[in-house]
Amino acid sequence: MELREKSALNIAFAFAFISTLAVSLVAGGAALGARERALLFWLIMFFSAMSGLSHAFVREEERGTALFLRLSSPPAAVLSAKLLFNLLFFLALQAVIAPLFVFFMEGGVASPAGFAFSALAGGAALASSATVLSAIAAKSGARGSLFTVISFPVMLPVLITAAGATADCIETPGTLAGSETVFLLAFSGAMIAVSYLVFEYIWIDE
Amino acid sequence: MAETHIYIEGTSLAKGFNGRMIFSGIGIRAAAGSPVAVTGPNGSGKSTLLEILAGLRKPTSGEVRRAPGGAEAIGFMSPRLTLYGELTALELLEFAAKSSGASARALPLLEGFGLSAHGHSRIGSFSTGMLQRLKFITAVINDPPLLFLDEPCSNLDAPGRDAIFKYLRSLQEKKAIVIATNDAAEADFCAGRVGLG
Repeated sequence: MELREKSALNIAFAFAFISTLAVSLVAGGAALGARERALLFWLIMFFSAMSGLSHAFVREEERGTALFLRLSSPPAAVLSAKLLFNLLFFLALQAVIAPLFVFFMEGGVASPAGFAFSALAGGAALASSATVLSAIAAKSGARGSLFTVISFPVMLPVLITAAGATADCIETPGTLAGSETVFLLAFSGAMIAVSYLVFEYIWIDE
Repeated sequence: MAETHIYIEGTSLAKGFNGRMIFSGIGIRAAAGSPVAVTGPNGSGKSTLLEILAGLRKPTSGEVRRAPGGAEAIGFMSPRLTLYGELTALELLEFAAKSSGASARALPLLEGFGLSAHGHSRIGSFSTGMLQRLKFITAVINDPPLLFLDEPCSNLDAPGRDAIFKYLRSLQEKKAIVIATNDAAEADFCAGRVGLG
């Protein structure tokens, strides 16, 4: 059903492509450091993904289909489906953005495998936190605004850590899984576990 | 013979929103063979009471007991229920069905409620009356012992209303049914009434 509502997906991919192109043109061939390139990569990823990730539950409440979903599927199944979609969505976005980013920006990637692995870990952390935060924000009247407000303190540390992990892989050959990447994976695991624990209480109407 | 182990019971139910009490002190019991109508003026909380009894909403106070328990025992329809317009009727029923046996009921139910020609049509193209019939089918696709029906016959023509009453009459000995309604015919179908407001 998520794939049938393609407008949000198309917008996210279009935004990602345009942002990557714009950043590379503005950089104008300047030799940016590894840290700067990593930060730009994650900023593009974050803002491209947010429009799609936040809609996981917000759109169900806005369209009024949340009640049907509550009736037809157990809470764990709903959460699993939304989480899986967000993870795959982020993965697909990275598959588009990462090669474009490396192509358009000056300077290669010293450890491509590490870059991919850190990107996956960061993506998992962002997608898992966005899913449960979307479920919380969807229950409020100011859904879109609330999601932005409550996601910022959770996602900012993730973004900073992911940028650090990616910068190491851009700069240092043979880097695969530094402490930052391990942190991102642990964060994802913790976020997913907490989501399953609390989701049933978030999902039911007051 | 009515099934004695199938019932819906609410005791001293109250519900408030934003400091305003919608209803309080409500007791209700619907058992197999004894459907109950919840009546009252607009805004009296009929739909809210139905959602509380179905476990879709929490009461401010009071207790609800259902037998059998579990979400799979519940069939629910409501004007507030919105179906996925991008799915076809058959796809939606496949999604709602909780077993292969339930899935097998989709085509016969569509036929019984005059929607057999629209099984492969997108729900977004359905009229209001067709949607109402499909909502009812969605509520009964799993043959649940507990039925919660909020204005089941609204927006229906005479054949649609007849089909729903015929279906309910054929199964009421095996199901506990609660109907929220302002419609006299729907209320008259029920053995008991609970008035709100």
